[in-house]
Amino acid sequence: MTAPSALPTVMRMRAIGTTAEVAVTDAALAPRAARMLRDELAAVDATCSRFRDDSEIAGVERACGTHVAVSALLFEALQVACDVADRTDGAVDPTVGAAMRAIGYDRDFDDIGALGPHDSAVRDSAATPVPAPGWGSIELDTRRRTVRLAPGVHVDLGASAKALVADRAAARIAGALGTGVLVGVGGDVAVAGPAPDDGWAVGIAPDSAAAPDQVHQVVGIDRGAVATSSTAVRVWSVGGLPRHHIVDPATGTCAAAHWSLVSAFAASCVEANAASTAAVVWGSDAPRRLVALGHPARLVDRHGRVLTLNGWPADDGDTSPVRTEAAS
Amino acid sequence: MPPMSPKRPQLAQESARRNAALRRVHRSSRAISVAAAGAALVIGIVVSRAIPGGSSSASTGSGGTSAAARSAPSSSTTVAGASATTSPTTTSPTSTSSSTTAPTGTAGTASSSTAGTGTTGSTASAPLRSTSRSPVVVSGGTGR
Repeated sequence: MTAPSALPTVMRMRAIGTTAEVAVTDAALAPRAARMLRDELAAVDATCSRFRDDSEIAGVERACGTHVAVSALLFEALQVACDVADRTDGAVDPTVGAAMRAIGYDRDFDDIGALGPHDSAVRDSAATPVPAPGWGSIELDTRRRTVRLAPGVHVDLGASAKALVADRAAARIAGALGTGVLVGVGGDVAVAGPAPDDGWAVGIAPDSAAAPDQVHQVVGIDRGAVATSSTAVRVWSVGGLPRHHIVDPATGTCAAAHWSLVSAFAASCVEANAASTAAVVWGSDAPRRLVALGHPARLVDRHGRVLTLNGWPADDGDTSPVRTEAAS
Repeated sequence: MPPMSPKRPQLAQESARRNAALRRVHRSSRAISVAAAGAALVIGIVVSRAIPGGSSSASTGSGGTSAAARSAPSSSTTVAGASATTSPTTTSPTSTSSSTTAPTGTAGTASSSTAGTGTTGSTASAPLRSTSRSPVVVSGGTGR
């Protein structure tokens, strides 16, 4: 076991259209941890990206209607995505690929800001919304490790894949290097191994690229994961109408911006991401459903009002248990 | 467009281990939801104390304030099915301004409320706490 340094060493990189970070408690291991994270990101990009014609999922889509043998990583990513859809009652559904294209998110987000008025994405955005066909249109054969997509189904694994990468990379790095590690991918944060003495300090902000002085709250975690979903970033406009990247699978339109920011804590990043993303889609019903799920969560509505659930700490450092009473 | 199907794809065994904890939470949550959701909806979840440090009101956009703002004495209101504690004014400890305006044009007022027991499933011993330290990373919306 390596001795933790006084301060975690953080390394950042660009990948899958966003920023990824890895922090370790042993500074000497930081370069190796960064390489391992980079490998994980490259693997998931080559496997799951809907923006690459040469990705494995693109090949599966081209073979729609037939069973296709796939890599273990893609199979796992699809399993996770379908399980998330199941656990969120379809609020986070991987079959929103066509819906995402219809709202104009048909390329790496870095390229969307440069769209012109005659760009296909802009034109198509005026088209009728495309509700998701549902994760039942993805058939997974565990024994043969094959996938079959129903004809016309387009998959978007963006919601769960980056959380899966965070979980996988954190576990892999901690296991291989024997160090405490934090992995962040586009705002989804997972930790593994021995944490620093005072835990990992994770800022909460609308944008994962926010500067430290722009965070709303800092929480400390020793294990598990924190994920945040926001309707205030990754936004663009089409014909003067605002768009954001969280789609309601039932309608194929951008989820109503009842909540501008939702953060959730869970045992894994996949769980946390599912809860935070689903909460945006659930809208006003989110508190009830999050209470039922049991994940600590912090929600900020469009008026800036903050709601904390299931033991998410108040912003002033109060760590005492939440005291609840029934109204008389 | 075929209707959205609730059919659940077959899950592989190799994912069962990771999902086992999730399912335990899910199952326990279903049971607890009767009490928890019922409490929230029928009798309400009431925070019996005013939260001494309400959250910053700058909740959207990247121009938010960094310091946790201090809330004025609170009043109870309802936010999305849960009883909430609303602070009519918010003042920053580092500013004399009585409110902070979010970049999206939302009102400067803020509120903070809490609900839920925090004792469900995997969260029972969740090592989650607020801290005043500088963040190592930021959990936020998927930015650039």
